[in-house]
Amino acid sequence: MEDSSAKSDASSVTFTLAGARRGAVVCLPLALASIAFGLGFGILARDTGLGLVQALGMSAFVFAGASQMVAMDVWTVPPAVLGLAVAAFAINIRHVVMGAALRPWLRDLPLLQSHAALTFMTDANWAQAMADRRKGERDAAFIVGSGAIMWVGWVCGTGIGHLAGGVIGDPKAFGIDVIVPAFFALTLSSLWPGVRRLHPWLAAAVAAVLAHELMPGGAWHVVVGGLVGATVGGLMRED
Amino acid sequence: MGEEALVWSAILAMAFVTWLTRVGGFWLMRLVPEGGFIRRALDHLPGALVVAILSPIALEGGWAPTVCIVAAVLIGRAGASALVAVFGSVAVVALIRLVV
Repeated sequence: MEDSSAKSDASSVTFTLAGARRGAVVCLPLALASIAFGLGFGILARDTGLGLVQALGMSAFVFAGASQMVAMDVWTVPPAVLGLAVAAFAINIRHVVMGAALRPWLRDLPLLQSHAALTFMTDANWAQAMADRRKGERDAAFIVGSGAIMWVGWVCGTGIGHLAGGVIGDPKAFGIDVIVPAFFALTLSSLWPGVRRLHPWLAAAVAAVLAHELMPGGAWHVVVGGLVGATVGGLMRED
Repeated sequence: MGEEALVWSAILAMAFVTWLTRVGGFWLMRLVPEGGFIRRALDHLPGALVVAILSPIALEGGWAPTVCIVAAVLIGRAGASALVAVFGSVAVVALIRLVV
């Protein structure tokens, strides 16, 4: 499908401020969504008993919403450090698969640049970056810029949520809970392979739903569905 | 350890393992020869992963995410920017919730 461009990848990968800016602009809606989710996490963290600085610290350093929400769910006083770390690992294990998909893009960059991109990788900006890469984006700083603007939104949202507490009404009333599905749907429509090459997606959907039934909690269904879909794609004949 | 210290240990432990998951895939792929099957599989991984994220949400999340997904794709296909498509579809859901 992309044979010609795949071979020139290595030489044309860049890491520039302009690329970071492109990422930040494209992912602006995600940054706004991050503020909204940050609000939710800030409120939850306050209710759980975390101080403002602790909540901000968690958002700044962990920067992974689902795992932080779950941590609040199972939080104890004093916290069970090992249990929380294991839970975070189980939920964020999907990053491993995402990072693997970034390897061809980041492989030939200096370690500092490739790891800056990986450090700022989240589900949504990763999906956006992969979709834009298909359209010719080659600048790895795209991931840093898009991730950084989401990070700012996430940390600010956390602070505001913690400070404002229950004053803010139910974010669901504004439809905030559906921003992320909407965004993923958009990236999906730009990754559309055509009806005749849809079996990897179908396999991924079936595997993910099954895994979600059998292993609820965590994000194993994402890992399983992604790997099954990719395997089916790998087995497909090129044409 | 005092409670404050334990809280920060928990935060930093979570941060560390999460960072390991972010960089881990990149390093694991070093052990795998690229090309052929692996390259085709990596090509299909993004779509498969997003499908895997979305399908349980669409199947079990009630009408709201499904309506939002359909609306986002339709608005996007109509040529609107991602910003308009995302917030337009979210507005559709908020509107339905307001009415129903």
